[in-house]
Amino acid sequence: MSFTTLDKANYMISAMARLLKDAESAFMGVASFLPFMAIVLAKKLYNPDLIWYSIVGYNPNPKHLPMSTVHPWISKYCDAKLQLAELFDISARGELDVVFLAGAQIDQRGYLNNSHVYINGKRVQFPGGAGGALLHATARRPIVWQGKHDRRIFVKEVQRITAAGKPYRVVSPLCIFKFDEKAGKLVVDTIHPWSSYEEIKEKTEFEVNDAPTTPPPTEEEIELMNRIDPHGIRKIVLE
Amino acid sequence: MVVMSLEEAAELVKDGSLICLSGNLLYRIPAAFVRELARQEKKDLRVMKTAGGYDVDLLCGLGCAKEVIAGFVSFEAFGLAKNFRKAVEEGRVKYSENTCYTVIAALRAAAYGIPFIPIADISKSYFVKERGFKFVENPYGGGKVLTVPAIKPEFAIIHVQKADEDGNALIYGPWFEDVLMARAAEKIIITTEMIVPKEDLRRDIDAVWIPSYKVVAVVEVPRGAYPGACPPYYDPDFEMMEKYANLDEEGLKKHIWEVRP
Repeated sequence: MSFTTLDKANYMISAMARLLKDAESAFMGVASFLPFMAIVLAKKLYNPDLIWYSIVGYNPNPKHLPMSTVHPWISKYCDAKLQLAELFDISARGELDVVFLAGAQIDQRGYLNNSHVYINGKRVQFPGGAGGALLHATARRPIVWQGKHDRRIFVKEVQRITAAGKPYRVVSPLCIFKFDEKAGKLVVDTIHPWSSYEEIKEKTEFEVNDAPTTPPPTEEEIELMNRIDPHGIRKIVLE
Repeated sequence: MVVMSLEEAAELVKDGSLICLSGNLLYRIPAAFVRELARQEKKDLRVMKTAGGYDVDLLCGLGCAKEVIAGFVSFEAFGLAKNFRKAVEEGRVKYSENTCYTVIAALRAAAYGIPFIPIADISKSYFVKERGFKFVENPYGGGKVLTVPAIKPEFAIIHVQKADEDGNALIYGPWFEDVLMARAAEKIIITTEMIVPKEDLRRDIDAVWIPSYKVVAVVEVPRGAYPGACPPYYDPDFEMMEKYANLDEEGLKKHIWEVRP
């Protein structure tokens, strides 16, 4: 069976949506197409009471995926005003359950580098971690995601720690990691059906293990994803 | 009354000034003002914002900025902010990296009129040391607490939907850090989609959160956030952003004269 880029995005979104089944609240920031879709899916299919903190307001109810996850019209579908600064305060008070964070580099401790790396002595600049440093350290269950998986991204130790915290899960286009409390590091939880233990081992700098296959998205999930994002913007993340 | 032209308002900003820009990514950014700063070939600006995009990239790409104090600079779906990135990699611009929360904390301390402010412990993040954020003993007990020093911008440059001729200004939709930076800054420059009579603004008083007393310039600039959005009047121009994201320095030089104001 072959999987298209869209299929792979759908697997990742479905997996993230299911992680929100028992979540109290979730926040996602800028440039977050997959978390946006996952939150909409979770609210519609699994957890209607899930509180969604967005950058532009409290508990939006958008009808489709915009080209920017801080698109102005999202704020028109909110239940209440919420300024971005207050969202950080919510997390600092320990009131934020799930936060979605991306990492340009992710290490086996679950620390993220979104700052910069040096390759052969040459600086390569990333955008910065936005709100990540606070949110990773203070949200109860950070879910880390990344649209690519290779040895430069999944490293033993990040060159710069932009954000430190303990991820609840790490969702990649090859597999899902969870945090092993005893070992104090990430372990593979499930492997997507187009990948394998061998491939993940080859493309990850730290030690990995074999694991069961990630369950596929349901018909219902796929139908809803196509409705929210008919043009497949969500693929961008994996390209 | 402090109404003036875009050119006159931009002349108030001197080389080396610390400026804080409104909005977030492509949302209610003072884009026209930033283009005018670039047309006037400002130098050594220190630019502050939680999450910048077009505005910060343009000032870095055209050699107007020497420092960026921010938590994030990028174009989301349109890729990385190429000119910002190159300027930082080549050492022409210093990226004083923060997290959005510490940019807010620095503005809060300035807004509250206090020298520093305690924050949640994020001390494992590398930039905490690089920025020199320090722990102090909590005088009420309970150990040490991390702090961030105040940063007081010389100018908050804020694009809004409506303002009166004195600079009382209204924001529809999310504020981001704009009301906070208006409190924190020494002076405020307002660019506005329209200047309206005071009676009109009073009718919308619940949205008027920027009082005029520190406003030194009000400039009427319809589509002043372009290619960003200014709801409810216009959405971001994604086509333009796609083009912009691929411009090099020569392209940028043309861009600031072609896109008017």
